[in-house]
Amino acid sequence: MYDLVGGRAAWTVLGLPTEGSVGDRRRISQFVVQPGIVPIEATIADIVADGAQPEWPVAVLGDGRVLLGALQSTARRLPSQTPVQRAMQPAPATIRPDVRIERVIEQLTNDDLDHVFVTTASGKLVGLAVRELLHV
Amino acid sequence: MSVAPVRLGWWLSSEEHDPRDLVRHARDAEVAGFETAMISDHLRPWVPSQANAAHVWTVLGAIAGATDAMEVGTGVTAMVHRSSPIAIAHAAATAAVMFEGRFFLGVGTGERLNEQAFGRRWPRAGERRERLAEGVGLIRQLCAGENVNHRGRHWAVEDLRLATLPATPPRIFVAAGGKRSAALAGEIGDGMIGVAPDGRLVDVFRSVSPRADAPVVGQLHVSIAADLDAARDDAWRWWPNGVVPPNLLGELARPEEFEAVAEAIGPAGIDKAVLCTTDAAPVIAAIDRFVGAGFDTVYLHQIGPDQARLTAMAADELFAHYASGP
Repeated sequence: MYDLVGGRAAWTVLGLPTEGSVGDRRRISQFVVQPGIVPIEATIADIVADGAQPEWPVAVLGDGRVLLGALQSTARRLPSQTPVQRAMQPAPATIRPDVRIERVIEQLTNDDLDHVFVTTASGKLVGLAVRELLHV
Repeated sequence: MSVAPVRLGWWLSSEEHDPRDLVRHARDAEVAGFETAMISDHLRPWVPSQANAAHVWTVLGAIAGATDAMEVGTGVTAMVHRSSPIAIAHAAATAAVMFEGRFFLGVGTGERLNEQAFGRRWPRAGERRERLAEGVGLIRQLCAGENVNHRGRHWAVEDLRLATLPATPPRIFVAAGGKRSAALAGEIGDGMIGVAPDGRLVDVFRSVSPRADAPVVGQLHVSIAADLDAARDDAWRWWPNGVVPPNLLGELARPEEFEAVAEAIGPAGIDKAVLCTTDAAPVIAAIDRFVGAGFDTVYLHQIGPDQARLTAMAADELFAHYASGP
């Protein structure tokens, strides 16, 4: 059950179910993986990375799982008491969940990138799109 | 799973220091605990007041003899007009022998400041990247002991095999200031050199590099003094080029031009280019930003003559801090 607030564009940007020729199957929201996460007020010792690959960036989250920053895997080399806020890269690049998978692969390839965070229009983390895990 | 610690490196600024002092600074840094150092390769200083720009390979030979275990690399050597791949391969192979495995070659697309004296046109960045890519391929072949015959778009080598060769060719790190040079670093380099904690460039480098553990090293300018005003004064006196916009760094031809641009901008912006401080906490915070952005080694460049202040801070606080983790 969903409340449609903000019109159809906002609905699809949130990655919610749609009808039509594209269909949910081809949207990146269906293909993301979960990166390691850590709250912004935490320290390096608080990184939770269950199931995440060590080379993936860690998502730094605020209230409501809003993505505020990213830490590269090298951050694990820092002393465990290091504040996350001090080491993070603020405002990493993101894409919306409704972007079609072909477009994401094309964009990552053109930009020479392995991955990109997927967030809703309001900044909530959906997951991480990893190029090597995406197949048309 | 064990995690390698953060590495701190020492920056030897050829533009600021007499070559004999550079050798002494390298030795002092090693004694203080630094395991790695980089030395700039300039034909001219950035600004006239720096008053130095020694021939880097001559200084490297002396540093090889004055240090025992510290790794040292160039930061960075360009191949535009001043140095050909043959000359660089010759020098790098000899340096690698002298350092007995402790040498690495840092390369980049260069600055007009160090090339204009040869009286030739200054190529655009894209052409300089082409020259660099072709040149690095030749350096790898020559340092590996191959007999090289090459007539390419930018360089020619005719029937050359170097005689003095290291047991293992030196690693080649490539400087990157933008996404295209970061991609090139991933393509042709064994590592990347950056000057800002920009995780986007690290992402591009890692995406292109075939080596998942390829080193990414950064440079951090610091001015550490007894009080903040003195730190700012030192930064402005010895490193006014720090305020010159990045897109001009490669384009100005003479030290006097850098000085004029810096004077026009004024000292108010020096804090953005140089970390001016009296204590270790801001230095640690700045290093953390590099590491959080994907850098595994951060080279500290203490601006001005008071180099001992950084060796003391490192020995007393920085090494202990990073030894405590992860």
